[in-house]
Amino acid sequence: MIRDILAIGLWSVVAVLVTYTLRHYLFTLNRVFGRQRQPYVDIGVGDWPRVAVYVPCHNEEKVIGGMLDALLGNDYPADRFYVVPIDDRSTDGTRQIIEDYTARFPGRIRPFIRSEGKPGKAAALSDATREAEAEVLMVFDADYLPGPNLLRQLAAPFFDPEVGAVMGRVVPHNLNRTLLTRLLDLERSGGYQVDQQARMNLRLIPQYGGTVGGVRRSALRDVGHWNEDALAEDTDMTYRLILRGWQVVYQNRSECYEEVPETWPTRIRQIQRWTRGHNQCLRNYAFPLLGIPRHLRFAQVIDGVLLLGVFAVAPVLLLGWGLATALYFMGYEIRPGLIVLFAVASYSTLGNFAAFFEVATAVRLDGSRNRVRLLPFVALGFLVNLLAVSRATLSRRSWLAPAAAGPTWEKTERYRAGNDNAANHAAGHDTAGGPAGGGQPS
Amino acid sequence: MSSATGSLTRPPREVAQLRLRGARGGIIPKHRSMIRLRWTPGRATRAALLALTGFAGVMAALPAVGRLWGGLFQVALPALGLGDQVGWHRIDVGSLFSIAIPHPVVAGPWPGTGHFIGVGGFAALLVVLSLLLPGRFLPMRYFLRFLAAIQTVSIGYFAFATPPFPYPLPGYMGGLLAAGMAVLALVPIALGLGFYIFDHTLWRQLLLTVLVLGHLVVLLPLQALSHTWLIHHASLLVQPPLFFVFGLLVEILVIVGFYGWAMSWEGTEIPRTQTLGAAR
Repeated sequence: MIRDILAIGLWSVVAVLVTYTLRHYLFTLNRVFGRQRQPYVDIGVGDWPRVAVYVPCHNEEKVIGGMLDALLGNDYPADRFYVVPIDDRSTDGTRQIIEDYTARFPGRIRPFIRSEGKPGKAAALSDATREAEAEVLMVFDADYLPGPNLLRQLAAPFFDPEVGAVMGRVVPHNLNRTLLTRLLDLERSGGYQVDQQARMNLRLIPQYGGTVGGVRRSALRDVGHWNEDALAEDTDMTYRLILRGWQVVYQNRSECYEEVPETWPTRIRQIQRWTRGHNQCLRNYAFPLLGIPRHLRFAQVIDGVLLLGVFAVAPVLLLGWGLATALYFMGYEIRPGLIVLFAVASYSTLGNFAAFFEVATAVRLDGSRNRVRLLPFVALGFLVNLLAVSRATLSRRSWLAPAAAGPTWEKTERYRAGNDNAANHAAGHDTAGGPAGGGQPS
Repeated sequence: MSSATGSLTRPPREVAQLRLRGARGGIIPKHRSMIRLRWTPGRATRAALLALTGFAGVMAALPAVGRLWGGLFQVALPALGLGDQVGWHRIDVGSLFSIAIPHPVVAGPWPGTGHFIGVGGFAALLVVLSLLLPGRFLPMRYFLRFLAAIQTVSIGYFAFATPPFPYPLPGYMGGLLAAGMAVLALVPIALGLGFYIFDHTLWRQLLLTVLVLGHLVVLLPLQALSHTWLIHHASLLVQPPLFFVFGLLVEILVIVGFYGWAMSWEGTEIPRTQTLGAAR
């Protein structure tokens, strides 16, 4: 009896995993052979909307100068955009750097200083954007390096009145540092070059990722602003926009460079933070989505639910391993035969191959050759992710009511060596024009 | 009017080509965000033919592979001090297909006190090693602890269980090699889905297939022999970790390793781009 129950549990886990495997194949094949939907990428001339670029900061002295330089060097019409660095209770030199830039670029840098209220990115954004004048509100994390064309590319989709949010592609610039940074580079390639673009191609639900993207001010007001209790304000915003009938657009051409974690503990903290935020969204939006709102297609609902559940799969997989181990010692055997043999072998071979196929495809489409040879090492990252995500999913903070859990600033460690740009400013040099690494490859 | 509309919706070939022509006559490469491959009948046919021919070819070759493995076992088992008995597990599909899969027939002893001490000490050593490894080896730490955990569960099971073990060693070996043969047959299918569809030349597609199949044909019996040797000496205590961690997972990683290498080979359509950093 117990054995039968465990077997049913194991087959249920297999069903979940097969679903995600099929999704991997569908997305990858679509990305390789499907019509690439990038409807706004050719827009070069237009009556550009007024844009405010928000850069939430909490102790970002190592990177904020580089970020502001890159933004000021953007080719977006200067009279049509301004930058709002949001300093939320920094205790390092962040505020001083921002004040320095504000003095040097009056009107173009409009700082928003917070010293009270809820901590965290969502609350900081909520406060800073409430009285926004601009039509489009873009958000960048402080460690990013946007290229000179990026704001135009990200603003272009907003000419479409149905678009509520836009997301660009994130590319690591410190990939040559450690094995981890190289693995994260492969992972990011798969996530953006294949997953996000396939969602865009198939008119599913591309995800607004909270940085390298923007939200339409009217859409933001329509959904009731940023959710200050959200642990992942980006996923939260994606689902609220979708449920209210707005479109979320992914622009694969709009690349921005980020610093990925260089050490495993930093990576674990990062992915655990994402897990808690994502699971909070799973709890909040799975049922509204499963109600199949009339404006959503069935495929969008399925994709939306699978996307919400993506971090919950890790503990499900662990459960599957546990059940398989228990059944093994209980002497459970599937009835032998050629078909069963092929079914099990197919599950092992094609099932495990799917994720590697996606990553390898993404890297090949990227035109890279050398780094795809690290493909087997992705399994190492997968093992760490599996345990870290499972631990975070099973933690109380993943499932507590937001008020009890409470968002905080959970920052990823920065590695850039000091604030060279800020130092140049202090010495009176003008570094506006963007750092060398901020240019977009062609 | 209709022709004008037609030209708007479907620009003539020359216009489409001019759109990619640079000021000095060169071709402007597509940005990586827009690169895709065309799903042409030729590409589809070639991928399907290679996959199906490969599958049929491997199936046809499996009896010979079985005989090869059987011969290897007959030589290797006595050399390893494991006797000379080779069992044959037969799989028939009506009168269409029949294959005999060889496997070592060696007893896997029920663990005694010495086995518990030795294997238990080894599991403890794995944990200690995982604690001593520097932080940058975190995935290896996790792997060692995972291995130790499965080994500990196995020790716990055998401490309380009574014979017989549901999976005697010869049966386990037969299962491993039968599954290995199924994986061999599935390799062309997996490559059909994940490799033949790309822009590699035919000889490169064949090369990868031969490399993977050749490697697995050699690896599988050696893997079976090493498992047999370990279980014969360290008792059934070590069979569960070998099954879960060093079973088919090894073959999957071998396939992925070769696949990653092959995906780095030059193709005919997708250009290599030099972006940030030299090692991309």
